[in-house]
Amino acid sequence: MYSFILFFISIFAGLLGSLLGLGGGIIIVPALTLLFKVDIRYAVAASLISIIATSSTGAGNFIKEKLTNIRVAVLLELGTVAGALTGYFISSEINAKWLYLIFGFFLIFSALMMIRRRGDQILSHPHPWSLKLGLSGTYSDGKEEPTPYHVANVPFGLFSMYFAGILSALLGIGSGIFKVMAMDSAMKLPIKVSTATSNFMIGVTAAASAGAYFLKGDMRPEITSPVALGIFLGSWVGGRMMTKIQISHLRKLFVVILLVVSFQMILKGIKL
Amino acid sequence: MNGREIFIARFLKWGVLISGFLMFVGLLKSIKISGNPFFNFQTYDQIPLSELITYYTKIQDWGTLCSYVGLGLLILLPFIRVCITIFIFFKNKEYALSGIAFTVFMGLIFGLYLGFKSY
Repeated sequence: MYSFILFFISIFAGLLGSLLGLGGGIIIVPALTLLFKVDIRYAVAASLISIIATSSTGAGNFIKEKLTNIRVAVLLELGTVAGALTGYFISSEINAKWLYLIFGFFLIFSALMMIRRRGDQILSHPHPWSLKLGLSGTYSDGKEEPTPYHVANVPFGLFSMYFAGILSALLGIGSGIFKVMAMDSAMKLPIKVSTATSNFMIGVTAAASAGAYFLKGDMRPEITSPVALGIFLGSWVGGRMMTKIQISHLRKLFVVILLVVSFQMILKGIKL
Repeated sequence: MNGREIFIARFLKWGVLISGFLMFVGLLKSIKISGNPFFNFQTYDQIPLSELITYYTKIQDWGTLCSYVGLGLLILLPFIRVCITIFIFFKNKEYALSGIAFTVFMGLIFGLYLGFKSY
């Protein structure tokens, strides 16, 4: 019975994840810890699986639509993988109390980021690293001709990805909110490209620490199988619903849910 | 790199389907309708994967073992995806990007090493 409930929560997480451009991690970890009383270390490991599932399911579609910039992704993965390994080291030393507190504050930050305005900024001069590695690209935004774009602030982008990687391994999240923010605000990538590239990258970021958690024995099929299967199904349905529903209302509702859950996580951390 | 990008997309799609199928079979075989399957996970107890596999093989719990294979395959997908990009960039004579992808791959392997080290 409990496995079925977790399966349905994971479908919901996958659905919201694909509709709002998030990994399922920020729903899965609070659900496992607050509803099922699972230790946060098992929850983090299960959540990393949900991120690999979300990324692998969605990345294929984004690549086909030519939105993913694989060159930018490969370069930035240097930062996220280094960060994820650092995060894994920290997670082995840190007390569960601090994981709850960091997670709670991260949820508040995520809620604030979800209500910020996003807009494309056209860049005329690419960063020298971008020229050297050929990071500029084109994407389709409904016009006949593809729109060209350049990439700015590459070193800052790499540095931001390092922190995104640490959070990913520590909290079992994709850190997509951080990645997208760095890519569209600092590196000036178009919104559609930064979202697709982030989705492509979160799987590799999660895999850097997921391999270690798997071998360490923290990934238990009793928890991870219903989570992964629910996420697969939810992401698949969400991808098909995307054009049919009004995302802005859903986003506002989700911000409220995130804030409520964040306070519960912080309270649990304080009580430990 | 268009044809090769489609190859990566197809590879990910099939990888997800196969790992999902294995986990689904495993879950069906080992699911418990009554009781709380998460009760044992309310407190953290580190048991290495090798010990867990030995235990489930001994009690012949093929469902859980099948789930472990699915999980392992899902984790390996990003590893193989990075490997493919190393070769694609190398074949296109884009050695800098190929080298960067190789460094990322080594980082992933180091992650596995950390998991072994915890034994």
